[in-house]
Amino acid sequence: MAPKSATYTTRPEGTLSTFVTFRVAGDNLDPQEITRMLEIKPTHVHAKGQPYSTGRSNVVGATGVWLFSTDEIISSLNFYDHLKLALLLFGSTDLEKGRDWKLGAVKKFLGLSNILRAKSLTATMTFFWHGAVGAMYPEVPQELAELFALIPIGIEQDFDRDEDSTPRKSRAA
Amino acid sequence: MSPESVTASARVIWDKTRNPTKHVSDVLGVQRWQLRKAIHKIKTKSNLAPQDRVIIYSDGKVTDIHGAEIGNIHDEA
Repeated sequence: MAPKSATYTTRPEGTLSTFVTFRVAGDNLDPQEITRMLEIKPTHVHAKGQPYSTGRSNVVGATGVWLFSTDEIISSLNFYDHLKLALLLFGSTDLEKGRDWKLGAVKKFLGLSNILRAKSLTATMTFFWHGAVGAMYPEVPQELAELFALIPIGIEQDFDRDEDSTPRKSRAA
Repeated sequence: MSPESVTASARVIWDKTRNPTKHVSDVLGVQRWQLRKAIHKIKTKSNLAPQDRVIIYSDGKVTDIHGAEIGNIHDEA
């Protein structure tokens, strides 16, 4: 399944930062199981109760997290570059033409769905975008949300722009 | 801001649900997009959603609403 009539812009004008993440989380997470099934290494992983350092902070994982974050792989300011990279987790390489949703992708989606149910885990894809004042927001293809709902993979969208610091005109008479 | 909001080394500069303002990024010495990116990454690693509230301190430390440290803005920005 892939968008057939998507008309979203791929222009990164005004984009200051963007990336996509995919995570599987839960107390019963076996990170190696997710890595084997998706055939890709996470950019961050910790088990429940496992301490890890972020540099300045020492954190104890409240729950297990297997995380893939596209900004650790590419530095593009094009939201759709990041989305395509994230979809590579499932074998898709061409979102617009939809020709690469092959059996491998179906196998991964079903495999993930089975693991999520068997181990009471959650899967989430997040979309981050921050633009300059007045920049156009990217659009997340509706078809993606419909497909992800079947697995289920939750979607979290975090889009915002710089605040317009132009002084407002007084309405005082 | 209540007295307990101030620790020995840092004070709370943001504890609201919505995206932090430019004032917060100015206090931390980063651009607003860098602040938002850092918060998104920290929340993601902690399995928190964008709308989940976190507490940001003047030294960059970020905690969840229960006070558990989950990261630092300066490590991600």
